[in-house]
Amino acid sequence: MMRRLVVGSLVLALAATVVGSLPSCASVPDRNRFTAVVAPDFAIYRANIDLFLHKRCGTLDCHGQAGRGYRIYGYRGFRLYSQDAGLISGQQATTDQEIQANFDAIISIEPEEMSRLIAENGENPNRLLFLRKPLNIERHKGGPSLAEDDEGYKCITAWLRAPKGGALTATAKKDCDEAGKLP
Amino acid sequence: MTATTHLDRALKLATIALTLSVGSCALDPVHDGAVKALGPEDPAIPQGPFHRQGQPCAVCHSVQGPAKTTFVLAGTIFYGPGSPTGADQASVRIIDATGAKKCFITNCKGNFFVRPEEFPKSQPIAFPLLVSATKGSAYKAMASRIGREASCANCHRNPRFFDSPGQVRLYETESQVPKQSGECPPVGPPVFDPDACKENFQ
Repeated sequence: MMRRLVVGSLVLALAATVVGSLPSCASVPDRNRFTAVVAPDFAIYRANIDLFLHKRCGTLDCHGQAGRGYRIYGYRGFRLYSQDAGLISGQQATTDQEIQANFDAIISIEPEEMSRLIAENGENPNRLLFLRKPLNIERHKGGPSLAEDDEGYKCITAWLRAPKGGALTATAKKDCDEAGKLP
Repeated sequence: MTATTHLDRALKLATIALTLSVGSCALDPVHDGAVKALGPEDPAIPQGPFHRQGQPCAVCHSVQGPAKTTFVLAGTIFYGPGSPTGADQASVRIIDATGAKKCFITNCKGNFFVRPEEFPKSQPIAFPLLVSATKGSAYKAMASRIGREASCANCHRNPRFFDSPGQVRLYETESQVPKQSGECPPVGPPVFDPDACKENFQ
């Protein structure tokens, strides 16, 4: 009986060693590899989307904090840390670097899916995690924070449909202006 | 002692260990760590509405405890920029996502707290909130909304920095701060000025 226990333990230990060593067989990541993204228009984002997302999603207790994968920087909340700029929450206006960081953050959530969406002229935008989460199609810690009849949603989807270097339609511009009035 | 007896004992020990480890899964190490990080009580101030000024109240005053009471929003309003003194009798005005307006008064330590019972059961407090604080001519309104955080001090920390606008302070300079009188905590029950919290939301 004792002998069977010892043999059993040895077999278990050997199996654990083999399973544990498997991940070390993975290949070394290629540091030069990158993912090119077909991005939506930055100028439209900057003029119409950034302020709305900052107000709606970027408070210090939501996406305006270091613990979030999708971070939003700006005047009212989390600032892009820079010793030179010395940005303080609630003091200086949102900087160009912060708007660029916010834009990059959206693109980086699902770069391949974003590329596909923009290549297909923004059709079916709810495939993006960026929209599925606030619409609560996918679990969102902050609960539902956007609805499809919301001006903000209409503004974002119009931006995703807009051609690069193009402009929003008059209706979409009106939606964006309304969305930006959020307190 | 036979090998079977050893095996029986080993099995019993394994069962106890498993039971204990499953039991410990009920604890939240993050919450536990947050409670411990608050440190011990100030021996001069007993547990109650005047304690732990400027700390994130809802860490303990949440459904996870260890405090017995739950707050849906709580914090401390201070007087001047360099003052550790809490603003007594300041009005904290809240407008929630349903448009419900409520006003709460700070005590002599500057602490205020909102219990779930302050809102009707049929329409509990709904985040996001718009919040402002006022006392006399001093008025401060939050530039952003509160998305879901119940403790003011989780965002309003000292010093002001890239990730915090600093503690909530009613006055810009120390010279504006009114002179304090009376004991804090008060000897008797705190007296509130009913006119201090008018429904005059901005």
